Amino acid sequence: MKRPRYLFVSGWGKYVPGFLFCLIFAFAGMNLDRFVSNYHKASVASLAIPELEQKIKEMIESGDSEESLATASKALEKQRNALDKVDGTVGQHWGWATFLSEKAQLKYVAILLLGGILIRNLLPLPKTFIPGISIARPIIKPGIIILGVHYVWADIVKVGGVGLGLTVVFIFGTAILVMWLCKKWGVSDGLGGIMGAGTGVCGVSAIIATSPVVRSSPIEMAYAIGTILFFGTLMLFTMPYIGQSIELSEAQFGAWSAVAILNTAQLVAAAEWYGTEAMDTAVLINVARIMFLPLVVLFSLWFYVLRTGKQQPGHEINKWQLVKDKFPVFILGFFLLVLLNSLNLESLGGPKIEGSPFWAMNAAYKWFFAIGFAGIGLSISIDDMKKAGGTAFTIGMVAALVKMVLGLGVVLLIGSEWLRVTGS
Amino acid sequence: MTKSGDSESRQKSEVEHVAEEIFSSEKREDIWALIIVLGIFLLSAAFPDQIYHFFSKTLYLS
Repeated sequence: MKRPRYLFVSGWGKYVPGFLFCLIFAFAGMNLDRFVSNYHKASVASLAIPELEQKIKEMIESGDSEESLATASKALEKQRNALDKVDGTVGQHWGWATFLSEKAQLKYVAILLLGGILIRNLLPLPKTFIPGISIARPIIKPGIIILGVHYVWADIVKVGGVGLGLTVVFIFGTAILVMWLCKKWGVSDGLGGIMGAGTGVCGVSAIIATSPVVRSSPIEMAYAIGTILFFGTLMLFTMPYIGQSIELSEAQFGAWSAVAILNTAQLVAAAEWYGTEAMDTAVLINVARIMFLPLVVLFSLWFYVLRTGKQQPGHEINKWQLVKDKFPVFILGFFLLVLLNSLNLESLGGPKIEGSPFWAMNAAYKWFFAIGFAGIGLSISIDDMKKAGGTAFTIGMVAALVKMVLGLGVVLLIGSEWLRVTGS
Repeated sequence: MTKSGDSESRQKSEVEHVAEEIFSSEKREDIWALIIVLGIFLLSAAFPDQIYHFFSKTLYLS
């Protein structure tokens, strides 16, 4: 009886209004994205149709094969459908849609994140919405599990292997650097421990997981969480533009965001914003990264408690239990789907095989991400970020900058090939 | 001295309690994520066309 009860929280009713608000907001954001995308595609089609018609005419005259004619006719039909969707005619052009879609990159990620921040900070959002908004963010997790159908074991070995190397170097490199800086600058063990874990692994989760081990105070936790959220948000909105300006490939950007951005939801948002290939690489490397969470907690235990002999007699810590408690079990679902996809079972198909279960599942992940992104946008409060300050802020800034610059250098050196997910 | 020690230890145990409470909620989230995906998987295996249609067509107004 205890286990099923553990799945429910008491007073769940307080989460309903905010969660419903996130669902409606995600629905609106996804539909706005589709609306803009439809008009942008219609603009492209409006230009492409006359060219394709001319091409088909020439192909008929030159006696091309039926196969190539069929391919060209299919492409023409696709473009006509795109134009029909907006009841448009050849020659019409919707410049605003092309601007929003191509230049401003107004995808559902940007709509939900920026729209969420504006709603949260400019509108009088009722306080009753806040608890529900906080539970929308983890809805990103089912989306990450479903993304398992995008990979096969060859990807896990290739990209995951490179990612594992990157994460080991960056996680422990950052954690050690931050903890050493904290010791050098006389920062308390409580704050140094959570900042080391938070800047090394996955932000807020790592702070919460490490805080009991290094005995942080509530104010230290507030400082650290505020700092992590501040830099995560800053990177989320700047990195895609930096990536584009230096023409980073999608695979490279995915790896860079997985190394530099601390929070899982924020890095998935940045990578999805950049492109599907970027997201595939980012999610895989992030999975490798979050597997290290229990090890970082153990490292903090050693660095602050065991190494310095501060463990109280009679309060021995069960290290195996600690690893078990901190392990993010949802990634087991991700690996199970990778395994099933790798087995190439006819009964399950694949994300591109029409009519198969994995094809159907693949259609769902964006909706889970949309709800999660709505939750992130709506939970970014400028007031909360103002809590970031003092030494935690300086340490966070050093760690964030070091990871960002070194991470960029490393992905540029590695190149795209080793970071690209093939899915087959 | 004793009073400040008491309040410090009370504050520490409160932090541990809050952290454990929040982190156990992460475990709860993980388990719910697995349950949701299992549900989607079963539905996709039983009705692939309908599930695809629902997520890529029905939920969009245009």
